[in-house]
This record gives sequence, C-alpha cells and structure tokens, in this order.
Amino acid sequence: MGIGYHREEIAAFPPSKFEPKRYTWLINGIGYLGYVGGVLFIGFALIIIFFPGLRAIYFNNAIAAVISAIILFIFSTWLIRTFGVKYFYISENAFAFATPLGNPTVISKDEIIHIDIKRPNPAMSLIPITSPSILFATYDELYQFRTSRWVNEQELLDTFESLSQQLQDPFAEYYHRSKTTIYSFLIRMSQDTAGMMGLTIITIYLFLAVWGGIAMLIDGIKTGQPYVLFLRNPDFLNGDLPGYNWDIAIFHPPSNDFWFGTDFLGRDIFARLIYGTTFTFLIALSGSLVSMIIVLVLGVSSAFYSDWWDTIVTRVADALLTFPPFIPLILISTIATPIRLSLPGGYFFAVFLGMSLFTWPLGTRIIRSEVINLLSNEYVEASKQLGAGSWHILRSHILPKIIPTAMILFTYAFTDIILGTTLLGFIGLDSESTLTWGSDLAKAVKYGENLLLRWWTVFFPTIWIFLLVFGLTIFSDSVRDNLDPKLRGGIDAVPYEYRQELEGMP
Amino acid sequence: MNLGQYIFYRIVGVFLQLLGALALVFSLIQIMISFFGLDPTVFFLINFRGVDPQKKAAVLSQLRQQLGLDKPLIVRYFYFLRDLFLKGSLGTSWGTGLDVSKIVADALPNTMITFGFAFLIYTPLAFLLGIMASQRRGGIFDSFIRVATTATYAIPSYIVGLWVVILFSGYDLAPWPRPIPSGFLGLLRVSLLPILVVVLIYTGFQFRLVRAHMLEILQSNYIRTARAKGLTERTIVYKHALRNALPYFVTTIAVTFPIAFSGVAALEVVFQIPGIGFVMIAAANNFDWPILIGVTAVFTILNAFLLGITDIVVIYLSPKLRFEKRFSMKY
Repeated sequence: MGIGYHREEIAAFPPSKFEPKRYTWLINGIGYLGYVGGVLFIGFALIIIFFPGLRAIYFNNAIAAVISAIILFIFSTWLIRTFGVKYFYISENAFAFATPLGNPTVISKDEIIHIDIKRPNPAMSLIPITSPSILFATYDELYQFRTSRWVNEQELLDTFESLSQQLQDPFAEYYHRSKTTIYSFLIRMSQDTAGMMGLTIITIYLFLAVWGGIAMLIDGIKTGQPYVLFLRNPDFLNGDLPGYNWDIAIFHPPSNDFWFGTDFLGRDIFARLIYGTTFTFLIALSGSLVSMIIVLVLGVSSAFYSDWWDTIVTRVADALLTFPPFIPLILISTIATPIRLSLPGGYFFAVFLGMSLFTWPLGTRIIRSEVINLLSNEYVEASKQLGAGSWHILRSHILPKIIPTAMILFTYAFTDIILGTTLLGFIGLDSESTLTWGSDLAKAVKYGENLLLRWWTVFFPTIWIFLLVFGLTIFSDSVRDNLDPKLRGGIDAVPYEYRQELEGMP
Repeated sequence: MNLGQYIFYRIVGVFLQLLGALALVFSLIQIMISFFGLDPTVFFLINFRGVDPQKKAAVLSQLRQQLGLDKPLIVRYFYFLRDLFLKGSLGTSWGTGLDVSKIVADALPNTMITFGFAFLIYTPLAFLLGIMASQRRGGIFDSFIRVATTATYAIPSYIVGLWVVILFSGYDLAPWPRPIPSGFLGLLRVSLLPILVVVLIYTGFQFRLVRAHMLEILQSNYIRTARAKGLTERTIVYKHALRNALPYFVTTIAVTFPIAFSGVAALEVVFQIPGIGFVMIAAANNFDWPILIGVTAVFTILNAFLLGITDIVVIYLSPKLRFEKRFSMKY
C-alpha cells in the first residue's frame, strides 16, 4: 500500500538533493496552460457576447466556451494538486517550501513549534481538491501545506521527524555551497511558474517543428501525397480529395479532416502552420546563433583590444543604433529582393542578412561593457601579474561570467527574429517558395472577403503566432530574472540562500 | 565638461551618427551592385520584354544616367546630402515621378495624428500604472497588471490591429475599406482604432520599463534612509524617489518612442492609413528605391535627434553623469 504523499521528495532529503520529481514541471506547465486556456475561453465568450455582429452568429459557441473554461479550471486544479511539483529547501537554519499554487515560504528552524496533520472531512475526501494537509505552527503564523491524497498519518509524522533531524545537520550548509551557478539557476527556473509555462509552450512548438521538418524531408522523397506523416501536405489542394469538390474545399470551416479549416485555395491551415513553425524555427535558431557569435566576437574583442578596433566597433554600432527597429530589416530585404525571389533559400538569406547585420549593436554594447567591468577586477590583474596570457584570462575569467548575459541576449534575438520574419511576410516581402506565417496571414486578409464569417483563416494563425511569442517572452523574462536578480530588483528574485544576507532574516 | 560643451559635442555627434547611418544605407546599394552583380535598373526590365538586347542595353544605360546611377557611390552620397540639407529635397520617386519629400510630407501628418494621440495617452497611463504597481510589489494589482502587460507586449501590433478590424467591422469606426475622410476630425475618427491598439500595446511596453526602474530606485539606500527618518510613504515616493527617477523616465520615454512609431507604421498596413509606414511598405514592394531611402532618412533623422535631445535632457537632469568620460544613452 503506497502512501499518496510524495515520498520521493521527502526521501531525497539530503539537502544537496534539492530536486523536484523529474519531469513533473511538465505537468505543472500543462496545468497552468489549462488555466490560461480557461481565461482565453472566457475572454472569447465575453468578446462574442459583447459584439452584436458576433453574438448573432456565434452565441452557442460562447456558451460552449464558458463550459469548456469551467472544465479546464477544474481539470487543471486537479492535475496540479495531484501530480504537480512540491518543493522543499533546507539550509542550516531555515526550511523553505513552495506549493504549486502558492508563494514560496521560508521558516526558520527555531520558529517551528508544532507540526500537525489536518484531516479533511471524510465525506469530502472523494473530491480530489480536498486533501489532508500539514500544519506548521510558528510563533506568529500558521502554515498549511496541502498534501495530495489520503496519507498514512504515522508515516508522515515519522518523515517529519527525520526532517527535523535533517534540519540540525551541521554540514547542511556545505551541501548547497558547492552548487554551481547554473545548478541554482536551474532550480530557480524550475520554481518559476511563468518560466515553466513558457518552456512548456516552447517545447510543444519545438516538437511540432520537428514533426513538420521530418514530414518535409519525407515529402521531398515522395512528393504530391495528400498526407505526409499523418499531416496534410501544406501545398495540397484539397479540392482533389475524394468527398470534396472545389466549392466545399475552399474556405472549409474547422472539421474533423481540417482541424483549423482551409484557406482560399483549399489548403489545410493546420499543416501550413506546422510547416511554417519549422521554417520559422530554422530561421530563428540559425539567425540567433549567428547573431550571438557576431555579438560575442565583436563585444569581447572590442573590450580586449581597446585601441582603434574598439573605436571602429563602437562608432559603427552608434551609427546603426540610430535606425529605428525593423526599418533596416525592411531595407535589407528590399535590397536582397532579386535573391529573395530567385534562390530557393533566398528568403532565409535575406532575413539572415538583415538580422545579423542590424541586431548586433545592442548586444555588442552590453557584452562590451560587461567585459570591461570584468577586466577591471583585481583577480584579473593578479592573474596578469602571475603571467597569464590573454587567452587564459579570456577562457577562465571572462567567458564563464558572460554566459548568462549571452543566454539572455540569445532568447531576445530569437524572439526578435521570429517577429521580424512574421512582419516581413505580412508586409509582402516574402517569396513564393517559402512558407511563412506572415504571408499566409496577409493572404488570408486579402482573399477572405468576410473575415467575420471566415474567422478561422485569421483566428488560428494569429493565436498560433501570439502563443509562441508569449511563451518566448515569459520564458526570456524568467531567464533574465533568475540569472540576474539585480535586474528585477526584487527580493522574490533572490534565492533563499542569499536572502539572509540581504534582509538579515529569512 | 560643462553643460554647454556637452550640448555642443552631442549635437556634433548626432550629425556624425546621421552621416554614418546614411552612408551605410548608400553603401548597401553599392554592395548589392558590386558584390551580387545586381543593378536596381533590372526592375525596369519587365517593361522591355520584347525589345532586342542591344536596344535594351542602350535604354538601360540611358536610364542609369537619368537616375544618376552612373556616378560613383561617394558622389551620389554627397549629392544626396547636398539636396537634403540645402534644398530639403530627398530625390524623385522612380515609380511615380513625384518629389519624395512631398510624398513624405503628405504621409507624415497621418502617422503623426495616430502616434501623437496614442503617445499622449499611453505615456501618462504607463507611468501611473508603473508607479502604482511598484509601490504594491507582489500584490494582486501588481500581478494582474504584470500578466496583462506581458500578454499585450508579446503580440505584434498588426495582429491586434487585425483582431480589432474584424471585431469592430460592424461599427462605423473602421476606416477600411472606405475612402479616408479629409480634415482633422475625420482623420481622428478614422484613427480611433489604431490609437486604441497602440495604447493597448505600448502601455504595457513602457509600464515594464517604468516598473523596473522604480523598483530599482525604491531598493536604494537613500530611500531606506528616508524610511528610517520616518517620512510618510507619499513624501518618499513623490519627493525622493520620483525626482531621482526622472532621468530614467526620460530615457524610458525615448526608448519606447521609436518602437511605438515603428508599431504605428506596421499598423498602417492593416488599417490602410496612407501614413509613412504605408508609403514605405508600398515602396518596398514596388522597389521604389528613392522613397525607401527618403523614408529611412526621415526616420533616422527623427530618431537621431530624439537620442541626442534625450541625452542632453538626461545630462541636464542628472549632473553626476557629466563627470563620466563618455556618456551615451543606456538601452
């Protein structure tokens, strides 16, 4: 008879092993996404009810959306409460825990005066939301820690007994001192709800992009098939399918066959969105990698060789920074019009050129100032006096310290490139051979005469773009906050281990 | 360095930056011509499909002479600068044959009405929300506003524009597909929805910057001292924190300004407002190179002067920055 309480976390209690159940962050992420979906559904319902034009056509859909939202809320709560992560953290004199739906709490060891188990009403215990909880009493507050299912009371109390013994472990301090920056960063990331939501969204899109990519490769071998790897061929005109003639296949609403409907030529919008995801991820990944390499090389070299090279780099960066955002991208894409239209990968090339030529100044400035700050440290000076060469200083003192900044810049560059490609496609600077979300959206607007009736041609692409950019934004914000607590300037960004130093008390 | 000297150096710096940026734009064409072997005039070839090659070459060389492309790059660059600064002219459009400065002058007010009204709304709103949220950090108000602004910040402006156009298509507000009315009030009525969209998005953008700066300041030592002195929260925020935050806030406005302006430009495609972004994107699709250069030049001039003025204002507001060796605006 296994007890329902998360034994794994309790068992893994040597504080060095501060780790939530593996992969449970995914469950948390899915649960929170459920909440977001519920809010979105309610938003749709409100929009439909608010606008008379929509209300006349889609009133039933509004009711369905509200019911779905309620189901989503209940399901997500159950999922998180039952399978979600619960975190513990122990230092020498403090005990911290975080429940999935609550704020992290820190309790000093001396403060705990009583541990108790609160049992719910047995009649209510069938509903998964009501579950037993542990009570921590301190001198001035009572903390309630909800467990997931029915628990063996005695066993739980035993566990807490061992827990309090662990609290007195005199070496507890050393366990977490040995952790690297990256490790504690990962821990903080796994605690960050928004960041995990973002990571979940990005992971889902990444899987879809891989799916589209494999389908694309197979499609290259056996071309002209209506289905490729359970996915409709994005260029296949569904009017030729058995059961569909041209009148039905064009602007077909969402159905079992076409999940997101079909567009003005009768092509499947879902398949086109997934293939577009593959293209966009290819451009964004390669573009942001190249941009990062340029930024790192220019930033570090200009900080190191601070004579004429530094002057050239900073002056050119100053000149480039006078361009407003996205204007240079349009310019480059226009200049590269012949390449964009003639070469098969010309669109990539144009975006690539524009992005890598015009996104480096900002990052280079940031990296440069950071390296200059690092070089003025005394340990670098000491290393120089001991005879270290510049390569050694670069490798052991500079590069490890600018990795966090580079990661932040990478996520920003990734988001910027996705926005840039979509904008370029939307304003018509695309090519026929490349499938992008932006150009599909522009064509949907151009050819769908009544967008209120043919809502799926615009609704699904825009939501698709919005979700990815939203996920990237909250993920990059979370990476920034967790890598550099100073940037956010709040105590909640500081890990527990440093809070004592900052506030005097945990 | 005193303030007068600083202003002088900064103005010179703005002009140098401007010359550099315009030189970059010009050298991009030259790169295209010499490295990729592509000539802008090939886009006119579509008109000579049946003509025999010898005649075509003659016509093309004549065309090149007409457009001034036979002269070397540096000569063209200085001709452009001379026309720009002495005559206020930006060249002649290849597609329409009109003066580019006239096209830009016609388009700019349409953009400015949308952007100006949106700016007047979103800036105070963002500051109000940002200061309120930073005072109530971690509270319900703060969390709600943060989630909402992150969501609006993440959406590209043209996508919100599309949603708004579709949703409000039943009302008499959308400019699309009617002809644009003339007169200030007519333009304002047509610009109501774009203004709404811009306010929705860039309030969030600016709010995030304001909140971050405000939190940074509220954490600092002199605020703690003020608290220890027993001052009221109102005095601390409005007398101590806000005054010191002023240089940051000026920078914040200046950072948001060009981004919001670009957002308005992208929105004009959706709402079909004949503003500067609409003109530029139409020119990009028609390969009307002089218009592109002209609009980029106007954008760049506006942006460079904005950066310069911001630096001067920040230096004026915060004297301690005058002693730094090389100050320029922090992004």
